[in-house]
Amino acid sequence: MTTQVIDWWAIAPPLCLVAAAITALLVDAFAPRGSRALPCAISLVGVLAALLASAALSSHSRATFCLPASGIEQPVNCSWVIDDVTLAWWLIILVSTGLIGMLLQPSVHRGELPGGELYFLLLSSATGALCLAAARDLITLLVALETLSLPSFALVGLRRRNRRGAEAALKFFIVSVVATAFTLLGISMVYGATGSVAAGRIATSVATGAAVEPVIAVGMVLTLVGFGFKVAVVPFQVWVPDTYVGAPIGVAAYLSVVSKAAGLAGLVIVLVRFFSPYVDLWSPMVAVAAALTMTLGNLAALRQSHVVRLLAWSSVAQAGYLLVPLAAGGSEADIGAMQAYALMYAIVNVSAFAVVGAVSAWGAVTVDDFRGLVRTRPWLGLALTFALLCLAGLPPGIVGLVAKVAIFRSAVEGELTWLAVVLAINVALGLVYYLRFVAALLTPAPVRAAVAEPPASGQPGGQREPHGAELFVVIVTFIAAAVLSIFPGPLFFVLP
Amino acid sequence: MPLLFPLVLSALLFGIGTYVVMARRHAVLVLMGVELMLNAVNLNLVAFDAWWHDALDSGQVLALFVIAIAAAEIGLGLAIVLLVFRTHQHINVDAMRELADRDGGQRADQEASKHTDRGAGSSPDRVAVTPP
Repeated sequence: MTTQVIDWWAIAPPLCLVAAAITALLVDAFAPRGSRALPCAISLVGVLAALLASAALSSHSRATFCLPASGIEQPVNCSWVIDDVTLAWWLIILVSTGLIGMLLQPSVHRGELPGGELYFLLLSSATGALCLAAARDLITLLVALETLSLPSFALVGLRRRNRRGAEAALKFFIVSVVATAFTLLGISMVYGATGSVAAGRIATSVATGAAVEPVIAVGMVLTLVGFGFKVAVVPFQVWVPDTYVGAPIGVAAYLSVVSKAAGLAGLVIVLVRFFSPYVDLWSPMVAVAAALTMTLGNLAALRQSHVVRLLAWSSVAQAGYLLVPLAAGGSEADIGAMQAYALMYAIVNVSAFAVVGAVSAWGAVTVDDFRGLVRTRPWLGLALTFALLCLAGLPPGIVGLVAKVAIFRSAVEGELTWLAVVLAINVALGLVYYLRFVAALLTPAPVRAAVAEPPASGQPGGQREPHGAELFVVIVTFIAAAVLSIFPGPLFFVLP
Repeated sequence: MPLLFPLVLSALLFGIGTYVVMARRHAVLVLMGVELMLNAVNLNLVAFDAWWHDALDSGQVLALFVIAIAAAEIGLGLAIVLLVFRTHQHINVDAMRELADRDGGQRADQEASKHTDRGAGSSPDRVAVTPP
């Protein structure tokens, strides 16, 4: 009987989040009333500690929870691996979680959401996301996926006595647990065909042809279902618009950024670490899924006038773009391009949701309600305009353009010319609705605008000054996107 | 015992579970369907574990995790169903169309949001005792 040596440094970042989550819950339960900012502050400290801990890990790759080698055909295999790819995902997840945590603070301040529960659930879910990016065996992947999902159902339905929140939570929950059940079936098939759950051993057994090929192929496809659901790949995108509209806006931002990034990390791990010998089988599948996802997302976004629904469909389209480098084969350069795009998307999408959240708090729902925002609220209006231009990939949103060129290049280099053509058509299609929205923001004469002509501030739905935390998030993301537009170099820090 | 028996049984269970999820409109029955699917997977895992004589017992370990996950899912699921019952006075999955996409939806969406505000303001006590 040997005891296992655990590399505590390697698991420090998720531990920081867990500690902060539990502290936030307990402090909120025992702190005197009126200290509503405490859970947010604690969770921000936790996220910062996790960021520092992962920065300390960046010198060389680490691994822990290892199976010893047994014989030649079964090399050492570790369930928890931290390399450059993992750390890049962690950076994206932690930064967005921190920003979204601040974004949610105004609702806590107004008493719409319970602070302790909110931050406990948010950080628990983010812990799952971190574990997902580091996992290298099917059991860890599955538990991480569930740790990511379960708190997010509760987050969606957290507003008390809210009809739409409850409906959104139920829809999200049912689709998600069915997707998880299919993932589990897939995992059980892969285990049955290879006799192992560890990435290295499954890859070896697939490469040597020791496994039963049809069973393992079906198992692989089913395993992808749960991750595809998180990323909102067609045909698993149906929950997205309804859930985003029904959830608190900060939670919608969380689902569209952190949950999506974690799902992508899961897809990359499953396809590249477990099933790389089957690249000829999954690469066309991912390519078709990417093409369908971006096309459907853009077409559906074209006819939306509800702002959150527009952003929801736009996030589906962006998921299609994000899958392109994976379809190209998922080499290191491809994953680098994907992560650069994901980082850009995380920053500008949080920015867009922050502005929409601040403005919709005084009753703006449709694109028309946002008319003339640049005149009435220059900071909010300009930040939203810039974020939309980045998502569209138009100058001055250079960072979006650079990221799009990166994925375009990986499609061309992966000899997927047709996918590159579909991508180009879709980028043009996306311009239509992004620019329509931008045009509405810039229109000088507000027609019928809750934004421009607010009701008297005493009335319900009256104009409310944006909370400091919201403004902070808007300004930070705006500056980050602007700086990356001038110096896009840091975006590609993960590229070899 | 041949591997085939548990696998066929598990496939049947998973199929029934999928059917229940798709055909039933009652949210609790949908949850039961999901539970059937998860338990079909457990049977699969344990059968494969025994068949491989897995020294690490990965299949059994995963089955234990799946049991824990299923319990968590059902706990959370019932909480959400309860929340839906409090706000909607029914738990019919197909009847929930308030958030559904509408054509030319801006007016409709605003109407819906006003309706939501009224719904949110209604007395929770009265709601809780109303039969479905």
